[in-house]
Amino acid sequence: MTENEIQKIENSFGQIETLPTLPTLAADLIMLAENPQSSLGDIALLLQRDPAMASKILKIANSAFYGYSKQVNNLPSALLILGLREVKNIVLGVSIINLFYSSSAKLSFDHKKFWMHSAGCAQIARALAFKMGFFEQELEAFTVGLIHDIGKIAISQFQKDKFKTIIQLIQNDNYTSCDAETSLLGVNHAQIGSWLAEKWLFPRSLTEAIEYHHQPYESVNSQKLASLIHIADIFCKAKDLSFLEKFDGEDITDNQGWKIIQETSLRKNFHFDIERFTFGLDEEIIKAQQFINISRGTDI
Amino acid sequence: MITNLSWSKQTSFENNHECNSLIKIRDFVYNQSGLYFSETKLDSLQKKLSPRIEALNLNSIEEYYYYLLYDPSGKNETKFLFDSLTNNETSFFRDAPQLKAFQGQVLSDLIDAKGEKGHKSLRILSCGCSTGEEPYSLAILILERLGKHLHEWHIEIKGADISHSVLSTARKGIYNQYSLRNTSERIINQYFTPAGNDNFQIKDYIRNMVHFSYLNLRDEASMRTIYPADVIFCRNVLIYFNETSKKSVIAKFYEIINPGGYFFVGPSESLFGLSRSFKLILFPGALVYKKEV
Ligand SMILES: C[S@@+](CC[C@H](N)C(=O)[O-])C[C@H]1O[C@@H](n2cnc3c(N)ncnc32)[C@H](O)[C@@H]1O
Ligand SMILES: [Fe+2]
Ligand SMILES: [Fe+2]
Repeated sequence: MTENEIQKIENSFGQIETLPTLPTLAADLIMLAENPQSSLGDIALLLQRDPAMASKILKIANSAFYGYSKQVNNLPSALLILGLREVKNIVLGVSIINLFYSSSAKLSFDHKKFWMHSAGCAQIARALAFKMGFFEQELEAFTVGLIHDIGKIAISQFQKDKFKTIIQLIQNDNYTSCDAETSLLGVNHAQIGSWLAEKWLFPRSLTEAIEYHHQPYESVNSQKLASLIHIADIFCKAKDLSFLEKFDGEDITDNQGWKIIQETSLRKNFHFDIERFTFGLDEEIIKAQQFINISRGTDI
Repeated sequence: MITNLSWSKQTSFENNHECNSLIKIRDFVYNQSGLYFSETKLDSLQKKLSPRIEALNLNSIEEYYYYLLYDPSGKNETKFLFDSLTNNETSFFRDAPQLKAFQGQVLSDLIDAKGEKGHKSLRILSCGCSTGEEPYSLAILILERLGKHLHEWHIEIKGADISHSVLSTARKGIYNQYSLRNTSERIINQYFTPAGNDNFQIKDYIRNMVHFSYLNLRDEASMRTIYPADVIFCRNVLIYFNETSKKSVIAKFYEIINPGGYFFVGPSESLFGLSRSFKLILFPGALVYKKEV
């Protein structure tokens, strides 16, 4: 982002004291996971501070989200089976949903739809990464998918009037969300989201992917991740899970993000069965819904 | 014991004969219509044939096979055969997301493209239209979409099917509640009139928008009777075909769809591995194929 853009965000959002902060547990966990020295033991210790989180991890490990055939009975075995990276991913995901879900319920938009879009996008980005053989990016794709549009929440919360105008521009005047936002705020939700994630000390690869999820080809360091989110976003729309974005249909193979994914794939000459992938997404969306429910403790 | 054995030998011999005839009928059907009954579906083929065999007072599948081939009235028999072997399940407004994409973006795209060139005509083909619900639904969707501009347009909607009996139902345009299970009260009130026994008949001005004709997708002569179209619907038809016949029918469709036109298959069908000619367009809740301009 340019200095000028950051300045604009800080003018609009920076002074706000109630800006959501990531729970310390999640923040500590990000630090821990980035540290090559840390072990599963350290994580277990950390999770003892939060039994509710620990029980959610166990539930997710036992849900269709992972589809393990065997019951996982306790946290240590869950940690062993899932591994450090997966656990970090779950904790982040659960924290993000906890942090925003109830506050977003008070806002002027359909927050359920927002979260289904976000979780759906997360799960689809992850499935796409797996399909393309990007095993390194699977978890990051999930996390970024969950928060890629978080900037929209910030706008609706702290710029209520402008948010209304933005919605009108999208719905009545055929603006893209980014164009509508930029015309009113000088910055868009992707930049605001990236700025927030930076405040939460997310790694650079993630903040950059958030920033460029609508123009993945402009990203320098996170093209692949940004493209995964960009394409997952389109698949979400193709599953009628869009959120405040217009969608008039798209030939995905013409998309720059799609080309980046195909070119960087290690699977050369792999003819992607887009139809079958799309049909399979219903299942991914069910998993996404489950992840939300468990995170919020409304799974029973 | 011995009698038993010889009896069972006898039956198996007979079964073998019957089985061979069944396979011959299967191949005959496949060659004539593209409908394919794989080894695991032979049972269902036999079940579908038996009422007809009984009605003709024939004694075995073999006899029926020869009747089909050699009886002077055998030519007509293929008609009955296709009537009894096709699955004609359908309804008005089947698969809403696809029809929404049709009425919204697809029609907008076509209307814009045609408007620019000044050819205000649209030709829509419903192949495997069964009892007519699909093409009539399309007529209603187009009518509602064009509204007061309808008269500026020349709209041609054709429904085609291999089964004569479904075509005659389609021409009558009388439907029961089951056919209308996905249809809103408003649409029923506006475009149908009660026809007794809880049935409804489609109003004449809609009925006159659609023309029905016989079409065998597998038959070259029959396929030559269809004209180029802007949109082809062939939903839930090719699922009964095997790969070879799917490929040839799809290639033929590609040929007769106008550049910039669209092709709809059923919501769980795909052209992957069957054709690389079409572009795949993702719409909200629907996949649609397009022939590039
Ligand atoms: C299940 S119905 C589909 C009706 C409608 N398209 C829909 O999706 O609701 C299949 C239709 O395809 C027709 N059909 C099967 N084989 C055909 C062939 N070779 N040529 C033309 N029509 C065929 C059948 O007679 C039947 O009416
Ligand atoms: Fe976005
Ligand atoms: Fe999005």
